[in-house]
Amino acid sequence: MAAPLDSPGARDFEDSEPLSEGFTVRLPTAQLADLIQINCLNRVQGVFRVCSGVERGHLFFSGGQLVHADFEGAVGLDAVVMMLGLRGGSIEPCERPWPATSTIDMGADALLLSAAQRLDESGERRSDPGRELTTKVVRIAPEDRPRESREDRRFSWPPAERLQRLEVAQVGLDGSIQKLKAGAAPDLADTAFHCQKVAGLIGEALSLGACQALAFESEQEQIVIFRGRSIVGVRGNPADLEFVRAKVGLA
Amino acid sequence: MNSEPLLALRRVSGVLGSFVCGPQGQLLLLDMPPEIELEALERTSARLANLLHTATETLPGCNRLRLRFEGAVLVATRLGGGLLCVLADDELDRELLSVATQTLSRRLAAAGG
Repeated sequence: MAAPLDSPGARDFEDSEPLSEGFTVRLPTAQLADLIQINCLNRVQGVFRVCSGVERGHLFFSGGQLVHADFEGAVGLDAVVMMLGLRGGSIEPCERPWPATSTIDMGADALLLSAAQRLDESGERRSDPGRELTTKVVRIAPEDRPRESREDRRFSWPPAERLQRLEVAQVGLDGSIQKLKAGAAPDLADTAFHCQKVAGLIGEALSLGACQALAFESEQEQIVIFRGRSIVGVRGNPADLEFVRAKVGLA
Repeated sequence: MNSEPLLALRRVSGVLGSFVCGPQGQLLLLDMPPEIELEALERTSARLANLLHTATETLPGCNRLRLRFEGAVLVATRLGGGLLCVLADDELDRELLSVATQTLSRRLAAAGG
């Protein structure tokens, strides 16, 4: 028999679950990288506190980008790398003064790629068996939400050793080389910049719109080029590049 | 311009059209949707040849280029001294296209193309 509406149990439930936007989710397998991807994809505007034991950090999201991060005195990419190295903890929205300047100037894909490489270069992820459960509290802004493709929903973070092997060149929209990683040569940056521009002209000529990404393929190696806030060229063997190709629609 | 050798590609799911250009980008065979103007295709084939030439300096042995657009993909594959370019939508059957491309390549080689 159903409990009467005025039973103590029903009242307790109503008291403890105030109406709010979004859901509180407890996911043992949740990853911080996934949260960053999701928040950028959903153009979430706001600050999230990341706690792991006594350590604290913050992620600032705006306009579909992670624009600032801090963690235990570190800021920007350094802070993201440290937070990605955590094995678990909690993530929740919070109120915090907005930083005067942005410390992160790349899209989520390039950021996570860079952070994962840094993480691997710095050694093993920190292990703490007592902190492997992540609590995510995500508030999703209902407006300006882009359509999420099936590819986006299937995304999973690849093994870190694969990312470590990828050469990455990041080029500004003016052609200036911003970063070269994992032994990437300036040639890769120049190729990425030139080819992205020419591919854009092809899209324009054929009325196909902007070129979202392009891939050059040989038997042994491939180069994938895509554009976000900067132009990124990634070079590696076909297996290592699989997740990059999937992300840019060239699986 | 001759389009007959390319008609087999039209039977591949997702293929919208195709063309073959020479090493300098000159159009040799053409089977593309009529709304795409010849002049635009000539510019495109020259640019594709330029892209592959540039990429080969960084990635020797590069034999294929794929460009992703919203709802469409343009695939350029080396074919003899030139390029076979295929425009397809997201329903492209890549395995069937690969088989059809190999068949076309053999046919054009036998014809001296």
